[in-house]
Amino acid sequence: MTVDTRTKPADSPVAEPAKKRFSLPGWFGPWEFALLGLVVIVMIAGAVTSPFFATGENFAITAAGAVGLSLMVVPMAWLMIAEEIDLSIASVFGMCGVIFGLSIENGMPLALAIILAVVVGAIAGLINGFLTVDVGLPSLVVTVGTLALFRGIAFILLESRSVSDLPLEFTQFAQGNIPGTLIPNGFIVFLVVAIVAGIVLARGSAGRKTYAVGSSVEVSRFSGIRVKRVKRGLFIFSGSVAGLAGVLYAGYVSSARANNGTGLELSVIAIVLIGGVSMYGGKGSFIGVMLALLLVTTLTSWMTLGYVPTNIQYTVIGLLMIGAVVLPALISKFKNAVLRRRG
Amino acid sequence: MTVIPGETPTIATQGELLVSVSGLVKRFGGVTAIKNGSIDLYRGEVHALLGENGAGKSTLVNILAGIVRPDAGTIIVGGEEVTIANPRQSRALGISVVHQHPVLFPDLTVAENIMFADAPPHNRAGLLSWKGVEANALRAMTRLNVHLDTSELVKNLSSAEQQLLEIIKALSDDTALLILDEPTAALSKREVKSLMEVIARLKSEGVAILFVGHRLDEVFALADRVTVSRDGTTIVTGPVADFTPESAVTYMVGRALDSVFPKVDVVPGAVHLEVKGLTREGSYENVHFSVRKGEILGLAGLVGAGRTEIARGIFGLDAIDGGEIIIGGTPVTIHSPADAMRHGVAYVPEDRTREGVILDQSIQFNLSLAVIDTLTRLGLISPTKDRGLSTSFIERLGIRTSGPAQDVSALSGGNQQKVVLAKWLSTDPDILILDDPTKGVDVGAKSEVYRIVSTMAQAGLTIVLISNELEELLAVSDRVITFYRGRQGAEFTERPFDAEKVLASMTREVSDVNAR
Repeated sequence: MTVDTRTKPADSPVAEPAKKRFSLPGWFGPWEFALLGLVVIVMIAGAVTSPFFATGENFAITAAGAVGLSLMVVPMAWLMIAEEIDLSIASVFGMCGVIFGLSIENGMPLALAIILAVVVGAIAGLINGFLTVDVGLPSLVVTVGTLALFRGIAFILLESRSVSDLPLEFTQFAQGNIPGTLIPNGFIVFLVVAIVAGIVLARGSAGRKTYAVGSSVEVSRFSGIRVKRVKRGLFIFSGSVAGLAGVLYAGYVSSARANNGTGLELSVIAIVLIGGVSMYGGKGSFIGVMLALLLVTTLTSWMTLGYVPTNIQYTVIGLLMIGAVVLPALISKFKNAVLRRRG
Repeated sequence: MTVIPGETPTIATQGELLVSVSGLVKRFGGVTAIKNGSIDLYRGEVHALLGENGAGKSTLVNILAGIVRPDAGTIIVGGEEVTIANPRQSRALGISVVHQHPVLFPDLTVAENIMFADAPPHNRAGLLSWKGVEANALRAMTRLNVHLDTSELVKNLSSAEQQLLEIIKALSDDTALLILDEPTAALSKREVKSLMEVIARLKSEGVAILFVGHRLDEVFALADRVTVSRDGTTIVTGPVADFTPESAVTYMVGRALDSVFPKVDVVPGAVHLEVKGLTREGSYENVHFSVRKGEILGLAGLVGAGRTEIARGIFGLDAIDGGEIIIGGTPVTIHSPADAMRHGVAYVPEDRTREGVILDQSIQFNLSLAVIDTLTRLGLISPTKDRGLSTSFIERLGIRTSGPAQDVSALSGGNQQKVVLAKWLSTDPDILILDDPTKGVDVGAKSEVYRIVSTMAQAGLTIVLISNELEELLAVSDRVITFYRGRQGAEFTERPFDAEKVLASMTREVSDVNAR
């Protein structure tokens, strides 16, 4: 308490601006820069090694196939910035697809079936939110439980059957492109969700509160932010988007099955972590997460074209994720060591 | 450097010179913590080292404890010049330190806590000998004539008892110098008495005791000699009789107290905040007070007297079990900080780094946190308003920073506190509750914080001030109410306040009806 060496730079206002010759903008820091570099490397490597990689068809197929995954990445980024997690997201995805299929099978109009599935997703999110926020359990534990619960409900409802008799106009939409282009319709849905969510996260008061809650629940509470309401809202957001994604996916594969999207939550979380969101909340940019999504999907596409076995693909993504988690920890250790030496 | 003559050992300092430190210099990076430190410690004396935050006291303690190595200067222990390279060497020289932050295990018993000070005793099977643990604890306590229940959990002890336990833990058989670094608990007179008994016992064994702190009442009750340091330099040293509380403060601060805490006279307006019978079970009971516009009401009490809890109740952080909060003449219900803010209440919390600011976010982020919804249009924050808010407050409060984008963690404690103040002033409050707003900041920043508070009082804000620094509280407040264990004590309305009487009321040494 006598002397705090860290406080000194603040007391000499000249020190800081002097070294600011070149700096990246806040929303595009070194992490985003590195991810962009990796994306470029994968793109070039793919284009050089495979004649099929750098084609419009390949990108269209990759994008269409990844719509479900991509949509779920969006709310997961928000949740993890708020220092929460939703491991049940892919189970909600599966369950809502099943609800959608069964509603259609029982003669419900298409629009109503979609809305019902999304509402069920929102309720699933509400349950996660209630158990986490109001009962006060860690979301990691709660959503491990609901991961099994929601998947179980999907199997109880549909068993090992599948509903393939979906309305033609819907499957055509889910599988089709914007007329005259190679851009998949589902990708546009993702783009709309992602752009709105990205802008609000970076610039909106909801986004600011999410960062605040993830940085410090106490300070947020002391600042009059309704922490519980923010977190509950995020879980509901996560459930609804997972519901929508599940419906779109069922249309894309023309089949609602209880096991749709099994295990997808791990890829979603891996992408958010690779995107630079801290496990401890409060840190990370939406741009980074989007770049990580691009990196993982293009890398997967390249490996698939090169006949790399799925197991190896998993290993590569796993290594990337470990790297994304270990690297910041190492950097901060190194920084501290340097500071201490100067100490 | 003025050294008061009269180093002639008084009755209490008859011992030989034990430790002599001179010409000490210690730099941390570009900051000089100690410029010219010197102190002499005699066997069997209680020596108080006084100084404000930043005076270099803790660095001196850390040097003697072997945690920090000095850049220059000599340390003589028992007539021989020594270098203290690590804590083990420090202990070997007979130096025992009770550190500033408690190092007790709250969920273990008294005996178990004492056990961790030495190698735990084993039985023949190589397992921990509980009999030995018990015996060691009893032996250590008997030496000081302290009798705590060895099987009591430490968290159930009073803060004074915990302090005694810290001392017992720190002592070893060959302790020659015991250093008490800023004992945190404010003690009642009765508790000071039991501490004095322990200290007297150690004195009679010839142990030198270095008492580091800034709480004057304790110092004057305990010390034989006093050394004051300021800005890393030893300013004065002499027998305690040569000092008065006022002169000690003047030495510590370098100027008289009223120039540090300028008191601006404000003619108070109408009563704006009133609490009636406010009760929260287990925290506080039947609290009544009212505060006028432009008035600063000081809440005095020991740590744990319920003052912070009352503030939390008014701010909607904890539920209240009974009573009324009346703001501007109308009773209000407050269930959350958002409710409180709607009624114009702002609360600068006790724990700055946990409750006040997010350290790893920017000044701008922190400053706009409480008013974020007012800076938006269609849900999006206006970057110009956001930035404008922080630049204007950085200027208004004189926050020393490279700009609004700087992380709060890079600021000094005083500037961090100004960010918290700015965050709350940005809500344009009518009522400002300040909970220990100068904790851990240096005297310059203290003065600045209170200057801002004075300005707010002049602007007609209703201010409730809680502080553990009694001198500050008395210097700044218009009126003072004391609390003791959740109960309201006396009210003092006449400035200047009688510190003795306020302290007595805080510790219930007078009209002690309800104390157990």
